[in-house]
Amino acid sequence: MAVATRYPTRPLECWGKLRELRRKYAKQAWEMGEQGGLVVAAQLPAMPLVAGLGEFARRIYGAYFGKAMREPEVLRQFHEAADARGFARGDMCSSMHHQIGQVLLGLTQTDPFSGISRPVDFVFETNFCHSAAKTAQIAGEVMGVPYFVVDVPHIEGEAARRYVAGQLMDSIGWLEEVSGRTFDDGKFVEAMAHWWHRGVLYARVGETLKAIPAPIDYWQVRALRVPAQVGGHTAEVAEFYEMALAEVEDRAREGISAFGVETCRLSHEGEEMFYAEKFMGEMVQRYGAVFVVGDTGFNTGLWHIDEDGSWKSAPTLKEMGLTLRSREDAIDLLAQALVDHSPIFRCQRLEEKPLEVVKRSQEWRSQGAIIHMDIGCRGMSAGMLEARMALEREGIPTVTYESSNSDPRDFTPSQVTDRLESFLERLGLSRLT
Amino acid sequence: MASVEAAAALDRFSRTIKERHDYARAWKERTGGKVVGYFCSYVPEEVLYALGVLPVRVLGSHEPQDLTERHIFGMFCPYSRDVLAQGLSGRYDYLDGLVFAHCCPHIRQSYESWRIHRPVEFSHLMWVPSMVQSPHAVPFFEDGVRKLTAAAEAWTGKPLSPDALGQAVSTYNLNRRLLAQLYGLRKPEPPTVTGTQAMEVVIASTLTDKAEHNQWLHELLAHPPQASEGGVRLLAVGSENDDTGIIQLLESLGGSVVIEDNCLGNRYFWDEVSPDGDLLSAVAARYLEKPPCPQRDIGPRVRTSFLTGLAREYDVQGVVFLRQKFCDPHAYEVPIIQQAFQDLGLPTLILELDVTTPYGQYRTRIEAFMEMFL
Ligand code: SF4
Ligand code: SF4
Repeated sequence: MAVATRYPTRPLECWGKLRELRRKYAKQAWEMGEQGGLVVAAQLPAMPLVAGLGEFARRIYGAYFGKAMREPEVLRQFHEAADARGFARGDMCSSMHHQIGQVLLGLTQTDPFSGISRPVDFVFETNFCHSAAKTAQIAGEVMGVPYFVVDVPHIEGEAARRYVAGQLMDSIGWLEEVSGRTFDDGKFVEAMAHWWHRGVLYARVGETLKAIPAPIDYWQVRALRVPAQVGGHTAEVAEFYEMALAEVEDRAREGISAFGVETCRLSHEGEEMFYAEKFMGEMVQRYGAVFVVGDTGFNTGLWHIDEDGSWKSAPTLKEMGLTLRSREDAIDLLAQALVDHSPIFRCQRLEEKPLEVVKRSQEWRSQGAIIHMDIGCRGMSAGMLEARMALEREGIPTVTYESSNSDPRDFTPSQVTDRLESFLERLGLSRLT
Repeated sequence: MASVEAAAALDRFSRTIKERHDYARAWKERTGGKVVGYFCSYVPEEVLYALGVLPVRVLGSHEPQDLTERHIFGMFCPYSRDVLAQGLSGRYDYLDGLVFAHCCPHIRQSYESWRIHRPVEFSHLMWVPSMVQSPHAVPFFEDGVRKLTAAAEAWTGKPLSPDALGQAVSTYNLNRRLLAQLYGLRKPEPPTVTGTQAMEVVIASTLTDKAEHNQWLHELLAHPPQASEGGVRLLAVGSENDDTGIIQLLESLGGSVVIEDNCLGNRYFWDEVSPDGDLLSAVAARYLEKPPCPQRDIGPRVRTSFLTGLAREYDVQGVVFLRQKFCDPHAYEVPIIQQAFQDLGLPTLILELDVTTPYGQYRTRIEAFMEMFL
């Protein structure tokens, strides 16, 4: 039996700022239209490009995502709205399924605070996963607004980057046409620099978890991603990550741990259960284990991924000696970011996945991998079982659990708990007293 | 009613499907050439064929299996699991190579696990753009076609000569033209070729040396069947479907599948390669300009008008969706397309395909559907 290894801990100070930013952007998503800005609906738009049009807010298709995840009954109604229209629940991404339900119910354009209609101007999506591209199409059609999807190949190479860059360049004309605004290269270039910077800093926050003890845990890193997703093109969000990184680096230097105990380090592969965000982290904490690495928690960052599968944070513009001077410069960098440096756009590069999962586990010194067999996700689930075999071959024990990222009806807590507990016991852990 | 000649000609196609492994082995022995298994109808076969390689589409066997559980999630489509099972079981042990054109993560997983656990001499993955309307899509795909060409040249040790490519393109184009002629026989009422027969001819084309298939097609078209029994004229829309049993069932219960939309049917051979200009560019353009699958329809939707156009052209009375269980690319479009047909007053039926299809249960549903046309 492993003896619980204890370290000092203290609360993370940047949570306050994180909450403030979350609130600000959540409000903005609904009020931007009336403030004269644009509202773009998307899961993962190419944010810096939209910033070329001036002020804007991004609203996801399932604009009531948070409420749905807190209230299973509400979530069920969204799924049922999609079912009723013939979208087969078990046959598609469960996150997109309830979001399509929300689109069909008209909620993407209905302010939850006032109940009044707040329209979306257009849909501008990236094809990080075919589920998102098809949902963008449905959302555009149902809401009756123009839509544009930038296709990002899950394959490496110069030709892929050129293909993406060409589409990004073309999208500028489209953005001008549907918004009636003139695209401002200066704003785009500036937003691109911020967006790149926040991606690098976010990845560096993830890298601090290589330290023993990890200064924060993997789920906390994941929780930090929200500003990057909603306002990643702004200076204030880049500054937030400067602050967050400085804080976690201090913690790592001082030996401050995430929760006070770190007897065992774990990795988590696969999407989380959005409706049970805390379940995984809290479950393993009872055994003194801490998640230190994983895929979806890190994939908001910009990474440089070596041929041997190892992940390092991408260099900053300054480190590269790069100054963005023109629309072309910024487009090239954005295309490069999407094709090469954003793990979410690599989720179907299955030939690289096992190597990367193994390497990441080794470099973050994970002692066991918990793998989500997510019946509601095709994109990230692909390649997972081959990755599992590769981990086992390298002597890293694994366990799988089955559920769905966005449908609690596919999640049986007692079963998942049983599986995880016996896995943790197999790792020599016992419940903390 | 099929004449003796037509029946014999048709029988060749169905036998080739059943004996596909024997066919490929015999071809290899006869020609000394290499055989490549490919995974998606976007693989530009002409390039391989021009290098003396026989491209054969890998298909499932529709038998229960337990080989794939360690490699591929149970909620990946049955087609992708069935195909992988064939690879892992060694049924395709005569393949010298595998070529994959990215269709969706399900089948990419089959390719990948096959490649890892049953390695072959040559394996190659190419991306197929989804935004086919983008002016950048064809140049990007062309780059992929050129990379495949270079890799296959290195593997076979042969350079691709313009003459050989020209010959391959014209052989493939002829095949497409002859298949289009065959499909013309499905337009009259009653059609002279049944849906099952047409499906067998096209699937056989994906498994056969095209020059030989062209010969067989010439013979069939010289003595075409006189007439089928006909029935309710149906359009079958759906995912990859290599299960002729479901079409047979529809046709045995009063349906007549006069046209389909899937990648082992119309979408396999629709549109030819333009023989003018640079041939590799023309090959790339043909694949992206053919009617798209749902994965290649992410811009302003084109499949609805294409499919309703097909329904009109083939004078269809009803539409059956044959969707592989868990096939999300199709799941995202079925309700939209279904609505378009319903708006035209065409009744629709959705059937889900699995590795083994529950024919008993589907018989009742199909019978109930057919009653709508009485
Ligand atoms: S990666 Fe998974 S969860 Fe994300 S959109 Fe694709 S299928 Fe859905
Ligand atoms: S049937 Fe559907 S899920 Fe399966 S390989 Fe084809 S497109 Fe992909």
